[in-house]
Amino acid sequence: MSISPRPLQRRSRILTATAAAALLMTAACGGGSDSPDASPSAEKLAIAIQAPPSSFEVTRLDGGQAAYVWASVYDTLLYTDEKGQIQPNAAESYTYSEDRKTLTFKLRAGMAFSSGAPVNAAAAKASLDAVRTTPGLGQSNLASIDSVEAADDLTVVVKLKEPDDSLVPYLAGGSSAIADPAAMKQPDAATNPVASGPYTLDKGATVSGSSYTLKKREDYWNAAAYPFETIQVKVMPDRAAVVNALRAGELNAGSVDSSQVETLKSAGLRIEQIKASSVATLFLADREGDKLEPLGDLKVRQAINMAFDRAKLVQTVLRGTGMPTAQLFNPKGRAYDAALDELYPYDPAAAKKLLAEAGYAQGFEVTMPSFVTTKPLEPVIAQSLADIGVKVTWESVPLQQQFTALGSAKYPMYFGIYGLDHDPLLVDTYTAPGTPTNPFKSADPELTKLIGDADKAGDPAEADEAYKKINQFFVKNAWFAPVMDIGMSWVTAKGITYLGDGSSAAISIRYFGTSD
Amino acid sequence: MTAETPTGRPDPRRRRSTAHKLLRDPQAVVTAGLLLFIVAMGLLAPLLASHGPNESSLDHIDAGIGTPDYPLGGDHSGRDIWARLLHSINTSVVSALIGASIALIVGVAAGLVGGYYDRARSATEWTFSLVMTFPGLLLLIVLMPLTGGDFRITMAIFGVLLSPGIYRIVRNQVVGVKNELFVDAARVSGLTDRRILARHVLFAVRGPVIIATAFLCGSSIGVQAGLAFLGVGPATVPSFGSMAAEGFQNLYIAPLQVVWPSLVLGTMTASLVLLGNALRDTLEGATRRPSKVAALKAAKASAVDDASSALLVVQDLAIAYPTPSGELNEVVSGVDLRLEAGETLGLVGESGSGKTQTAFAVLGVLPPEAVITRGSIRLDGRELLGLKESELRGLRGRTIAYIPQEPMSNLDPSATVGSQLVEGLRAASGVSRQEARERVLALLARVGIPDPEHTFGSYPHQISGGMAQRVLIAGAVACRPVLLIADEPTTALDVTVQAEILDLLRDLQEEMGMAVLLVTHNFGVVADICDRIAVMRDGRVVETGTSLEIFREARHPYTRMLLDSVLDEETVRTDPPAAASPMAAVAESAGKEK
Amino acid sequence: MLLYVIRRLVSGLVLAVLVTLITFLLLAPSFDGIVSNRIGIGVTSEAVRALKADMGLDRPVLVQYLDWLSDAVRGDLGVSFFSGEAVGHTVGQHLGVTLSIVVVTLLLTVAVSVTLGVLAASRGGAVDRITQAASLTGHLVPNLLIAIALVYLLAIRLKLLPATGFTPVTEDPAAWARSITIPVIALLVASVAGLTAQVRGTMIDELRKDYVRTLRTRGISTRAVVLRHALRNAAGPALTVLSFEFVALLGGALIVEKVFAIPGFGSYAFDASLQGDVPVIMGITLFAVLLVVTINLAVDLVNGWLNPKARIF
Repeated sequence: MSISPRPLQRRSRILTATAAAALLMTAACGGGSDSPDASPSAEKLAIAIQAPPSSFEVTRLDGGQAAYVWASVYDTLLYTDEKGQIQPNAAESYTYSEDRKTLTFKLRAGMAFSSGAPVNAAAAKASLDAVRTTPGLGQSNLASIDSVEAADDLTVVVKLKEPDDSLVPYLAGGSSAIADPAAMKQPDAATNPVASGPYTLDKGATVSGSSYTLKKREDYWNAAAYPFETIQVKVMPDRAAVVNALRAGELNAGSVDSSQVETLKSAGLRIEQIKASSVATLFLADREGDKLEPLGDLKVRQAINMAFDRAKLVQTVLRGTGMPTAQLFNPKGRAYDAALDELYPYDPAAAKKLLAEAGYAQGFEVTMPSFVTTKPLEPVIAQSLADIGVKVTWESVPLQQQFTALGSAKYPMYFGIYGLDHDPLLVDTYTAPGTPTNPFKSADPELTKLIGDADKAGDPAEADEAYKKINQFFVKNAWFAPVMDIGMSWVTAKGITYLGDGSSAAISIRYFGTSD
Repeated sequence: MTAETPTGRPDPRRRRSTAHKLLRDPQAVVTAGLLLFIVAMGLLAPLLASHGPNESSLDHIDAGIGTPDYPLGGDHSGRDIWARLLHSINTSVVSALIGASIALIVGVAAGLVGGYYDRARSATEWTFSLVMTFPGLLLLIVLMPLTGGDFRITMAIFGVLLSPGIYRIVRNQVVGVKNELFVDAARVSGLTDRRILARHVLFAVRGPVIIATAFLCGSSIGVQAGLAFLGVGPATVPSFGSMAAEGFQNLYIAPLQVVWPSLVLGTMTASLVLLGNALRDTLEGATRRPSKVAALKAAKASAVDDASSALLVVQDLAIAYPTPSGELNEVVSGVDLRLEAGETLGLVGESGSGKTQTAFAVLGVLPPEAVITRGSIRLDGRELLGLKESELRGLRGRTIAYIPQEPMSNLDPSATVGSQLVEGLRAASGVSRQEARERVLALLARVGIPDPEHTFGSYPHQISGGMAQRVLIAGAVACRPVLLIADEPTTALDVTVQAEILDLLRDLQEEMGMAVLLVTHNFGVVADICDRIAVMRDGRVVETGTSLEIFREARHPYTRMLLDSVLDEETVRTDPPAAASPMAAVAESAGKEK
Repeated sequence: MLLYVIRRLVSGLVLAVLVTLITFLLLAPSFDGIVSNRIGIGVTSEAVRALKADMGLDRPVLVQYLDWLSDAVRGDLGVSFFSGEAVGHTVGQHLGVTLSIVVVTLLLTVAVSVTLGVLAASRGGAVDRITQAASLTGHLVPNLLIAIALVYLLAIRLKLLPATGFTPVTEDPAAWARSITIPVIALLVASVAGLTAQVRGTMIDELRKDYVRTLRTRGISTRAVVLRHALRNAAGPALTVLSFEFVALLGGALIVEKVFAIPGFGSYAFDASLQGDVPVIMGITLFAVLLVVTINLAVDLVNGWLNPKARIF
């Protein structure tokens, strides 16, 4: 099984928000000899996403797969490369001051919007300011920014209120997209973007909400990095439709469920499997036991962690496209610690014993929210919990209510699938109090100190150490019960390759290349 | 329906036999049996399946058919497909019960009120057109936050959305039935409005409502499954829809996973639709079995001994209808008739005596089920039995013509009077449209219609019964036929008009020199116009003779009995006019409602 | 007649106002969830409140509705909460897609059902049994299965037709025809099954009526009687069924739209409802109501033309 991820590239990339049927598993067999038509020439990339992108306003850029569209149209100051490293982009360099409270970007010279206007410090400042001052996600991502100044035509100086290690990763995503200040004020800003990036939106060949056609800008400063003349992004909510379209040659790239892999392989398509792109985890959110007394006890939380036969779940439910894990961080990231995965082996008997020690020999009952995206995994999760005596009642929550339902601290414990992202962003997401990822506002002096250490660390190695410790804190205190990393299978037609190796969960057209 | 066709005869045992008829209708039996079987399987789910519907086992993910304890295998979460299938039946049944009962409660209650109390009607009409205009699916999804995705609440709302259909049925029935005699009688006898509604009206509408219920259940099941397919509602409620959605995603690995739920769902909804159709056929008395419109099954004409030169010679004619058990039931058994050119023969008998059947046999327009088992019909020496429809068509209108009993039902309600006559005239004579029009106008004037132009452009419902009968006469004599068959041409008309029509017939006969076969139960009419009389009883001619002979010295006791009853004729009609009984009226209007 | 049409249209507008008002009132309790859904996860409730005020969703519900209504009267249906697209434009676009599929489906339904229904009713025998069996199959086999089979056979195996997507007819009529072929067949089966049974039933009733016999006795051919007279009288009820099917298909094409990734009205409405895209839901509701009102009026007018007795004008 694979998932089209909505990675936590920024704070909002919660997977639950993505299109419904994401997790539904499709399968391969039958198959046979059909080979797709000579795929659309390498000149053109035709790729499917599950949900339509929202607005093109820089203040509203959506996480996840929508980035195939907007990240092709807008340049960002920095970007995450296919190895997961943050790299210069529109900014050719960025430097922190000694106190890590001033961040200076040097822009490349000679960049221009598709309207002809220059891409300069003023435009970058205008875009950042718009994001900072408009209520929404970008605003909270950039909350640590105190002011943005255009020191000269190509220099942007960002002043921080406090050191914030998550700022740079955020600025490698939609929060630093650069829009034309003049276009931003237009009434059709939401639908008619002026490109700073490698492609322009071909309005004539675009049907909003269903198919987006992007045309390459030959005058783009980095045109060589983008091999495709045309990109077509098709919205296909149904996973089976994606498989059919790939087999029929209507798409030449897409991510599919692991179960489809064999069919598509025999149909002559290329498969690139990523072992981890998102994590399926239980949030044991009520860590004080306010709403659900048992959760206040560490033993109970540890018992829950021991309820899952992680290896078997990966092997059966995910058909091997995934990794058993007890931690939230990307296995290819800095915070990951393989030793932590050994902490909670599958042992229902021991789990029951722990529950008994905590005074819950009979187990307990819990109501968890059921989302359209988590439905496919709910039966196996509930069964594992039932096996140690935790009886789950699922309460269906409509998509539009998902964040309010979680954020209101109604559910002491819930299940979700979250994209893997840069470590600082994950920490930020899982600890921000009063949000759907930390509704009970859990805090701990030790954790606060560790986060502060990471934010202030000038030396990357020092920061890495802090993130490792944060990870340890999460696992040892059993704040969560991560079950497994869910992988992803990238399918490409002849002539196209997927360049990523799973180090980066970011979404970018840049991860696709041509080949023979 | 003409009163005398045997199939349409009101059956005195009708009520008692409804259940019997249903039991004998294979469609009803098979579909109801299937549904009962499926529902029983659902109820017995805990016994029949070894797992709960949500019990998942990592060892049985996508397990194949026949895995021990997993007869249909496991789904993508390692749940027992067989168990989920059985429990999905219960979800469907509950959906159907909720959806249908809410629709029935709301629709019947509002229909009774809106139909019975004229003052309340505009309010109920408005409310229900509002409900009907609501985009249903949208509403169900918009309301998700309020319903919490609980399919029972969703189905209750859907029931309200379905209620306008029931409302309309009940309202129409109530309006129609309200003024019927029995309700008036009930009112006179001092029953309160509420009791009238409860006792009589509800009884009268039960048929259409029962039928509609089958369809309501079907659509409720379909919508519940559809929403579940789209992922609306909790995953722990097993449903054909969610099973199909999961199976669809798993299509290439285990294609059967999508087939099982589709199959059971399809069987349930198709059974409900077919059961509804069977119920409609039985409760509304219509056996909807079609047959070729002009497909008379006739035995080869029997050898004829009489080489008479009479215009029409019917010999040993026998007509039979198949009974439900397949045997043939003779309604005309060996009739002999002779009619000389220009002569008028009265064919007299009570309803059911076979006289109309005999007339239809001569015209070659017996109902398709009818079988002519033996005999011969010769017109001007030419054997009619065994002729092809196209050969008969050449005779009709031109040589033989027909005047029916009930003027209104014999005109096409949606074509103008003129166009129907012109079409017939042109079919029989091949004249140009313009000439046909002129001749029809002249004919209309000839049959005594005061404003032919106006009547020509009128629709049947815009003219009176007497006018309509004149129109039909005009249609019959348009091509100056040699033989005119008039089937009770005055029975359905007012007494004052009857005489005028008879006069017209006599005048036309003299003018055109036609032979007339006058089918009637009324000796008064016969006395007026006929040269000779044949009396029929139970499918046989019991007595023939000249009018004078019969009136003066009828030999057969049956003839004498008929003659004796002539005095009572004006008050008691032996032939019930079409749709005379209130129940028949209800059934008929219900049929139109569909 | 004109007066009648105007009266009907006015009452339709009143209906539209009522239905949209009810829809708006039903949506109002979810505004908080909708706003936070638009922002995304990781935002505090203060930020949600600020955005809610920003979007004007904190004003009294009736004031908001009247605002929407006065804009709508002027032809401005607002912009989507999520994509920022003008609602009037996108609703029209999606409706056009679905209409182009539904109208073709219904035209074919009429052609096939009337032929089969009339043949079955007037011929009986084997023709009737075959028709009955076909109609039963149509009820029995969900259109999802038909769609799956056709996609596999025609699109994946034989590569005759596209497996997904939609080409507007204005762009390329041939590609349009190819893109709607499988969806139309999938939808056609069920609607043909329904309408054929209807036509067959009413035709049987009609053919047993007295006027059919009387017309035959005038020497008019059976064929003319069946087609010119009986069918015309049977058309009224069939038309009503057809109008229900039309309305049902506007939303009911949803599953087919999802499976074929067709940007139609049903999936647009579904997605907007799930997200809580208030302006889009309101626009869809308005369009849907007006469409239903128009269809009902058209059906009544045609029925009046077919059946002079039913003329109410």
